Amino acid sequence: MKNSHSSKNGHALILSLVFAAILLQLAISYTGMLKSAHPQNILIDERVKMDFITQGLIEKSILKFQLFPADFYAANDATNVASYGPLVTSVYLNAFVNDPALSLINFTGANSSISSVTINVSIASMALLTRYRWNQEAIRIQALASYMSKSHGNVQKEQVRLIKINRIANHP
Amino acid sequence: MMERPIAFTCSSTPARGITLTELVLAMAVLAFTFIPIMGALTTSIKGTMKDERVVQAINLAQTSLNTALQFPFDELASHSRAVLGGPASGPWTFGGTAQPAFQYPVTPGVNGLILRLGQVGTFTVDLAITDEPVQFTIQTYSPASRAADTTNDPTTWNWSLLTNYPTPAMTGVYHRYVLTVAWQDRQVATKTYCLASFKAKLVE
Repeated sequence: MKNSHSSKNGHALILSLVFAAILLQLAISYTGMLKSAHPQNILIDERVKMDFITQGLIEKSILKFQLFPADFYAANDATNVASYGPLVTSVYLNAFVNDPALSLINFTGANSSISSVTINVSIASMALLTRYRWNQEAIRIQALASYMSKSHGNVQKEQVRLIKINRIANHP
Repeated sequence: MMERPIAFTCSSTPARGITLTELVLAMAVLAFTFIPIMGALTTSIKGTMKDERVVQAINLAQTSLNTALQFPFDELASHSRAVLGGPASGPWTFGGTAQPAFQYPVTPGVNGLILRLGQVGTFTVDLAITDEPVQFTIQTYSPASRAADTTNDPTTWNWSLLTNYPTPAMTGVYHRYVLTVAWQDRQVATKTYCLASFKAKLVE
């Protein structure tokens, strides 16, 4: 008769250590997930800020067009004179668009206790779109916003607005 | 008499269980493991509650500013001048503790605008509207020169130098809207969230 003794000493300790390691790993991964959630809130905040500020600047560009429509149309017509090349003829439309009043540099008016970012916005282009088939005209205004994000570096956003316009002659 | 051999098997391996000492040690290890886990969970719950407040503030600010921008250009400012005794040329501030909701039209129907400022739930919403003078840099041309141009050469349209128009700057056509949402935080006294936008007096 052989007596074989098999000892299971220490199995409970090993099992508890394994479970503890698994639980700690779960806790670490959960904490890691929370770390990524916080910067997303800041990102959402910055995006929302840029949206509103670019909308406001586009309104200002529409105001400029409504105040000086003839000069805009002339500048646009000059650009379409192909024989002189875009470098010569686009200077008038560029002068209309690259107006210092149509840009916001280092805008900090929306800073709060949660976030303080410096946003730069400018009107990139104002293009007249014409559809002769439907006798419709529209202006396409493109605004570009950029800011330096702590987590994502330099962030740029483009916003485009299309508005329908009607030309009304005011001469008798 | 011969004894009949009796064949039987007797297992001599004792079935050992878990000792009390092992059990106590295992429970101690698990308990010590749960201490940092519970700490992490508590911290994460606090952080989630903080972020939830921030997201609520962002959504409230977005909704309120969108609604304010939908009002006709001078509607809120003229209400401030006429009813709240605000200054003639701004800035006009709205909010405080007892601010009735703004409605447009005055008796709104189904599609009317309702803007709630002041105390909104546990948040305080304030709106400040300021008038921004407007002056553009523009290069004008001569319509007569253009009409006389037969070669379709834009350089002969008598373009002016870049000039500031109008002079002096025009007021009452461009407003800045700054909306602030504030709430109380346990650690910091008051937290604020700001959104800014602009609205122009456009011809429809």
